[in-house]
Amino acid sequence: MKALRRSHTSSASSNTPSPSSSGSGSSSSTWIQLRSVLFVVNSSSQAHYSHLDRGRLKSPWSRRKRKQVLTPQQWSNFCTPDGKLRGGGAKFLKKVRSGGVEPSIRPEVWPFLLGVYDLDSTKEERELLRTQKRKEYEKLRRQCRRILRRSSETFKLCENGETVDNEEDGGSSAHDTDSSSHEDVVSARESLSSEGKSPDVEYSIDPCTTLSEGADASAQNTESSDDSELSEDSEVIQASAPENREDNDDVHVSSKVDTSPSLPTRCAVEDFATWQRIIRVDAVRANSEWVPYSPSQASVSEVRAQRSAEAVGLKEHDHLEPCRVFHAARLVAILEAYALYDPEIGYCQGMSDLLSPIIAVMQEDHEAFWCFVGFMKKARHNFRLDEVGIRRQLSIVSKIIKFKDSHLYRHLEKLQAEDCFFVYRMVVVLFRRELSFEQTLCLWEVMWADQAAIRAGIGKSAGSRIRQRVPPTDDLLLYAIAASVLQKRKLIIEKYSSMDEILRECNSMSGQLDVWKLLDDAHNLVVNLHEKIET
Amino acid sequence: MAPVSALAKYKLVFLGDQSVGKTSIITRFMYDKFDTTYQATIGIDFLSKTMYLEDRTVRLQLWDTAGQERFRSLIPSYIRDSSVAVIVYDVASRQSFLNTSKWIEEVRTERGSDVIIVLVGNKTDLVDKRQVSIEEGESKAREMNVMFIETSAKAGFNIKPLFRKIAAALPGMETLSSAKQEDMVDVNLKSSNTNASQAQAQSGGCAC
Repeated sequence: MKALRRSHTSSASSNTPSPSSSGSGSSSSTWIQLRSVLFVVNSSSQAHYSHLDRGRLKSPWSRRKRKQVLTPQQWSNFCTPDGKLRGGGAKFLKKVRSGGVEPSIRPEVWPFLLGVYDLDSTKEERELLRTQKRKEYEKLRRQCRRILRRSSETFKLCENGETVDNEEDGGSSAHDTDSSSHEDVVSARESLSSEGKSPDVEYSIDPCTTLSEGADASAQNTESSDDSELSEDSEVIQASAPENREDNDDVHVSSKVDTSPSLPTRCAVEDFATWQRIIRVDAVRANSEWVPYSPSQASVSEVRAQRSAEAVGLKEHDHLEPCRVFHAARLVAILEAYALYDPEIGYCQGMSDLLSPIIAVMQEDHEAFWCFVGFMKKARHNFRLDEVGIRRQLSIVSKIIKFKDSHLYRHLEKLQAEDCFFVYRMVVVLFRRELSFEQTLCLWEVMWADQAAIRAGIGKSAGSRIRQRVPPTDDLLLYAIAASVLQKRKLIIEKYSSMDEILRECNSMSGQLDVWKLLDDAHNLVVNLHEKIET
Repeated sequence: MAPVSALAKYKLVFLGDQSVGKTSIITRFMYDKFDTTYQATIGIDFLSKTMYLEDRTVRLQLWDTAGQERFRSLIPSYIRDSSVAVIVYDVASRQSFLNTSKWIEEVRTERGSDVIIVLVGNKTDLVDKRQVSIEEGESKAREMNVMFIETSAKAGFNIKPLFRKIAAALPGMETLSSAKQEDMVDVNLKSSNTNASQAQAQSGGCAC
């Protein structure tokens, strides 16, 4: 552990440029030379390890302290009058990659990081897109409600009141699609309007603001647009594959009580009805760490919380405070819609961990949904049935450790733990269980900014400055995970004699990690190893 | 190895559907506490506890697993070297009870009869919502030839008895070969039914 930690002395004597003083050409070339030296030292025997540590180089990121966060002022300065990001967003991403985003502007910034909006889109384009996406989301919700109603009817025949799926409509208007759909929409609007009054949002008004604008107008159209869209529903259902399957009544059969005991064990029998059930189970037991960070949602009224729970057919929440009921109802609405949108993945435990922080930040369900979709573009592989995505990632973590620390790697081999299964949870829910709420968001923002930079082709050319510093990578998370293990190397090598113990150590890292230190270490690993790892 | 190895170590793997209370049972046993909202377990979690019995001390390694089928491909290796599989259902969810057959079968596939299996009906505190009677649980256990007990992690009911029961069924202090273990299990399985009916008598509050 110590070996990996850079001493203050060495950092003080280091002449690496400070990250904020966007590195001059000369210092970056020094950096590259030194990097190759480091390379040589690193590949030699373990005996050099402590020596290496002392003479070690830092990446320009390496001051361990948090770099400056993207402030509302800077954010607004990044925008041109028509709402475009200057320079294709390169500077913006660079800023986020080094210091994350100030909480008050997260709702505006995240859709860019998550690819909901193109970095070079104009404000006008975004507003159009936003309306279109909102409608698309609302359609998905209407489909969910229909399926829920149907499945609850089926369930009532074969199972008694236990299932949570029963009464979205409370029995009063079981066949009234319009009213229930309105209810949902209304609650979403309310969340917006109440939030609009919060100081957080007002604070962040700037030329790039798109999310909080224009919403009032759309809220006014809601009723009429909803009515006109109802007729399109059947069309939508036929248009996309999942609904063809989902919309049949017999979909529910496999989740009925008579599931055959002789089913091949690992052939998962999951369908939409199953997902609807598990989503509710997980939603009411979601972590509540977000509460202090989202005051407006935290103070939601009991009546409203109750109404949103009813709108999605959420029961079994009597033990929860209103804000948690409200949060759970939003989780259900969005996760269900996602399961329809991406039926190959559907719902898998862990996805609620990823969505919950997004809900806490994004006040509107449809915005949260599309941000989640953006997040899941990559994260969905974590939940694939064939586990290919997980295996790929575990093997990269293993490779990073192997190249960085052959001594530790040999120890892992001895324990037959070199597959790095012990970081499984970190991979699946992207450190959400190991880091605090705020720290998780910082890590995710930095990681999303890396991925956005790659999408935008920033830092691709060999000569670009960004490349000479820390190149963006799609797998920053994996470097961070490897870094967290490397921070424990001494303990692992000296004390642990089985994979079980390492797993326990990793699963109990909560509260022990410092995200900026972790990112420093991760960036160092990227600088040193990405060429080996990513080929 | 470390002095701990003087203790006999046993691996217990907890299996069962989502939200039946696997983590709650373990937490109640480990720390004697209960929280109404445990987040879903992701992958596998691991805890260990030393248990002091009258005649010996054992080290129990508890493996908590995710309930969702999708994570299951990871589990077999944990089942493979476990001495005990604790298969949990929620007495207020018939579905979870029915699914225990799958879990039991999976354990048998991996371990044959070389494993102690305990069927646990949890959440007996949900008296009004009960969907599975104690008799049904018991009869399934008899039919599948496994041990049985009902618990409430929330009320702290029958949790210690569950682990005492398991400990009593474990092979002796010395590390036994698989063959020997199998003998032991057979012996214990017979007595386990008696235990089960005792537990049943103790639990009393059957909702049916």
